[in-house]
Order: sequence, then C-alpha cells, then structure tokens
Amino acid sequence: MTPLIIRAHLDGEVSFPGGPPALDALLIWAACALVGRETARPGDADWDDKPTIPLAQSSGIYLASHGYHVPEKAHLRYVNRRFPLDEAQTLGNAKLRVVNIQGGPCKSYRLPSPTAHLEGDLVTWWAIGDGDAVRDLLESCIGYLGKRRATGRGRVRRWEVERCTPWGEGFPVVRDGAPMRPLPTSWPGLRGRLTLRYGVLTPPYWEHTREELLAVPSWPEERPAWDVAREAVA
Amino acid sequence: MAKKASVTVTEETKAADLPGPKLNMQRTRYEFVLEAELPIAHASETLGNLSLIARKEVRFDGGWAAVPVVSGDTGRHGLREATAYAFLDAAGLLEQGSLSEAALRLLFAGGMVTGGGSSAVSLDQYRELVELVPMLGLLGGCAQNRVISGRCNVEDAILICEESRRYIPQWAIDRAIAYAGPLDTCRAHVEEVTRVRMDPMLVPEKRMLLTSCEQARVNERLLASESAATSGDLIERENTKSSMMPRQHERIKQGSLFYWAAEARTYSPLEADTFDTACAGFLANAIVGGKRSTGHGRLRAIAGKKGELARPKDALADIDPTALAPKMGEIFKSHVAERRDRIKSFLASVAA
Repeated sequence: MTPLIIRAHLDGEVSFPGGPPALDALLIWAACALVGRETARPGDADWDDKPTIPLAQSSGIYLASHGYHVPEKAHLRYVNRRFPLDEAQTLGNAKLRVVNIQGGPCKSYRLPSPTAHLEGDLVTWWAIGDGDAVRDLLESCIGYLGKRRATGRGRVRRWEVERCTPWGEGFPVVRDGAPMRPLPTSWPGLRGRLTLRYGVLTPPYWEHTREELLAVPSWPEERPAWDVAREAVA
Repeated sequence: MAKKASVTVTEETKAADLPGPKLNMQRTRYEFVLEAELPIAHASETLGNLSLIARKEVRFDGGWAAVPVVSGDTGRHGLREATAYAFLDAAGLLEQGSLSEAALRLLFAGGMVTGGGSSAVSLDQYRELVELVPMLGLLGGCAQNRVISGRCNVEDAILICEESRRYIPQWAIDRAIAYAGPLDTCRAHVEEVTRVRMDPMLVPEKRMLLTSCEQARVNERLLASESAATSGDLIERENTKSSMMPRQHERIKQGSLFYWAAEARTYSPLEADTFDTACAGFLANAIVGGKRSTGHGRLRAIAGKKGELARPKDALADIDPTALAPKMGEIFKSHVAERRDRIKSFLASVAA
C-alpha cells in the first residue's frame, strides 16, 4: 500500500449533484461490476461477501479522499420524455383508445439538469492503496463519472494513477486540518472551522438512513485553504 | 457388504454446489463518423417563432463555444426504438396491434414505476424480466414496479468542426477531413430557414369552395383587414389578420459530419449481440430531430470503429458501418423467438 494520487481526465461536462465522487465507492462499484453484481448494501444478505478493494482502511474508513474538483462553467441541460404516440397508433391493441399526455403515467416531461465543466477537466483523489490494482479497476470499469452517464455525461478520457509524496499529517483524509472526505468530528488532525453536514461515513453514500453529523469537505462550494495557498505559490 | 458412500458437506463443497453464473464482462465501444444526409432540425427551444437547434458548450481557444449536437438522449432513444422493433419482429408481434399502453411504454420509453413497490426485491423476477426483454438489462427501464439500471452510455453526436476538435479522436478528424475537406467553424454549419403555413382564405380559387355564407364572411374580413392596414388601426389589424404563419428554424446543413459514440458493459453473448443489434438497427435507419416529414433528420454512418475497452484497453478496430445490420442480431433474434409465447403473456400483463 502506497500513497497515491489519482486523476480522472474528463472529456467535457459532468454532473455531480450529490457532491464530489468518492474513490472508495467507485472502486466498490467497479469490483461489483466486474463480477456482474449490483452494489451491495449493509443489511443485504451478501454484504459480508462484498468484493474487497485495494485501499487501506483505518477505523473502518477507507483511506481515500473524495474527488477534488473546481467547477469552471455551469450549464443547464434538459431531459425530455415523450410517450411513443406514433407507435401507440400502429402497435397498440384495441383497448388502447385514449392516451393522456398531460398527466398520469404517459405524461411528457422536460426536466432541467445542471452540468458543469471543471477547471482543467480534472477530478483528483488522494489515497493509500495498491496503485496497480486501483488503476486496473478504474480503467476496466469506470468510463463515466457523475449523473446522467447513460447519455454520455462525465466521460473519462484517461485515468492517471501515480505514487505521490504525502503532504504530511492526516494524508489522505485530512489536509491542513480540513477533511478531504466525510469524517467524524473527533477524527485526529481535524481543526479550525469545519463544515458540518449530515452525511454517510462509508459506501454506499446514498444510503441516507445511515446519516450522521460529519465534518465534510468544503468544495465545490468553497475552495479549501490548502488549494488557495497552493495557487498563490504557483 | 459395501459401505454406503457418504459425503461430508464442508463450506468448500457448499460453495461448489452453488456456482454463480459464468460471467465475461466486456466493455464494448462503438465510435462513428455520421453524415447528415438531410438537414438536421434537432431543436432545443424557441425564441418567439424562431426554433433554435440543440447545442452544448465546449472549451475552445481559452474560451467557450456552443457547438451543435444531437443529444445523447436522442441516440439512446434511437437504440431503444431499434431494439424494440427487432424484439417485436422476432416475437411475431409486429403483424397486428397487440400491445397495451404499459407494454408500449416499456418497450419504447423505458416504462415507469406505476404503483407502490415492495420492500423485498425479487431477484428471480428481475432475471425473468431481463431474460424475456433482453434490452432492459442494457438500456434500463422500469417494469413490474422495479427500476432496472442500464449499462449503456450513449454520447452526444457532436458536430465535427474547429471548435469541437479537441473532443474528437484523431482518426475521426482524419476521416472527416479526407471525406469533406478542412474543418470549418460551427457557425458555418448552421443555417436559418423560413417556412410559411399559408392561409387558404387568401387564395381566390380556394375561397370558391366555401359556402356562399362563408364566402361573404371571409370577404368581409379581408376588406376589414385591408381597411385596418390603410388606416393604421393596430387593434383592428390584429383582429382581422390572416392565419398565415411564417416561422423560422435553425438547422444543421446537409452534409455536415458528426462524431458519435456508444458504450456498453455486457456479461453474455446475448447482451453483446443485443447491443450490436441496437447499434446496427439504429444506424440502418437513423432519423433524428424534428421536421422529419419535411425532409430533415436522416443520418448515415460513413466510418466506424469498435473495440473492447476492459481487456485489452483502448484497442478500437475499423468496422464497415454499412455492413453492420445483416450480420448481427442472430443470437438476440433466436433468443426472443424461442420465448415468443412467454413474451406475449408477459407483455399482456406487465406493469410499466
């Protein structure tokens, strides 16, 4: 297990409405996809058999940051659905005589869907793990990130996994006292003004019934102090 | 007396008794250069009576440019529609109108959750659904109040132009230049056209078809309209104006080229063949956007590549996009045909 920096070079716009993507969640998803399984959840009969991922753990938490990214330009796109009226006329059976497209199950819709281009088209994670195995999982299974992947958003042009020099105390989950992923407020090294929010500590992060008050990363709403300092030096 | 053989059931033998399905995960990617055989009127919104084509912002020269696209949703719907027709054909359901509203919604729009779902999800039911309607596993959908996630990513078909160059693989740029000459700006590919819906009342021969009472009423309106125009009475002009409707729309010029890609994660030869069938079926008759009845929307593939991304990585090989359809879909069609009766009864009662 070595300190790693992982970069996803994107091919354009991406949607992250649920916050920055988590590396451990991506890898668990990838490991499940490789064996044709849906992602397991705590409580499921096969939870204990969930595939292992090549990341180090501490106190039950995978030592990997959430994806760091800075939105550069926001856009609004739309998702449309229309009932197949042409086909209903030709293929519908005798009982199909009226279709209500103003309401009910056949209602047409047009939903706004926010997307953004990221600075440098880049999402970056830091982790402690087996670099080759991480690269293999990501390259094999993860071609797209974020929401609306089915329609091509968040395409990853290239994965980059390299050894890196840790920044010091807290690597890779705490940097300059700020959390790089959701952490309990008592996590060693956290200090200063913390952004607190209800969140989930371990994958799957969408399982809201396990939410608790956690210290969470400040991005993308607020650029973290370590990045502001880094940019000033650059 | 021979001793009866006994078997001690250990954790190992238990596991051996229950082998999981043999899986062979593949990530297949198709990339195509598409040519607009007819102008494309894929609109995203209207401003007044001007219809604007769909565009997306891309980085260009340190700034941003809005490049015309045919959305990924459109391509994905095209794949869904192509497999739905192949499915109905193989199941013998195209000969007469036989589908319920729910079955139509499932096959052509992915279905929807129509009732309260149970907290227990039946995996057997899921397997049966995907077995009977193979494209559900690939394109996703909702059936029997269960959401089935898809495994297919369909990208926007992006106009091949100077502004989009950095997002398009070099092989596609080379083919586009060889086929159509140097790349142009995206603006050069968009034209605005005006169409008019005529008011038949303005044509004397057509007015003669009216009843005498109606002729008198229309003549009266035309006179009132002329007098309002002469006097400059705006309210009266508005009240007596003809129903002629001029409107404009943007469209992408005939002969423009697009880069389009679709990717799928499959686990069996049937799923792989379903994906091939979807791509081949869509490209055999690719019509996108609006105004289809007035000579818009037809695309054709002029070059293509196919590759397995997971193993080995990034190895895309040339394919002949015009020869996709006849060779593909055999596994898919025979799978569906074998289950014809079960599919009929499933579609008759499906909730979607």
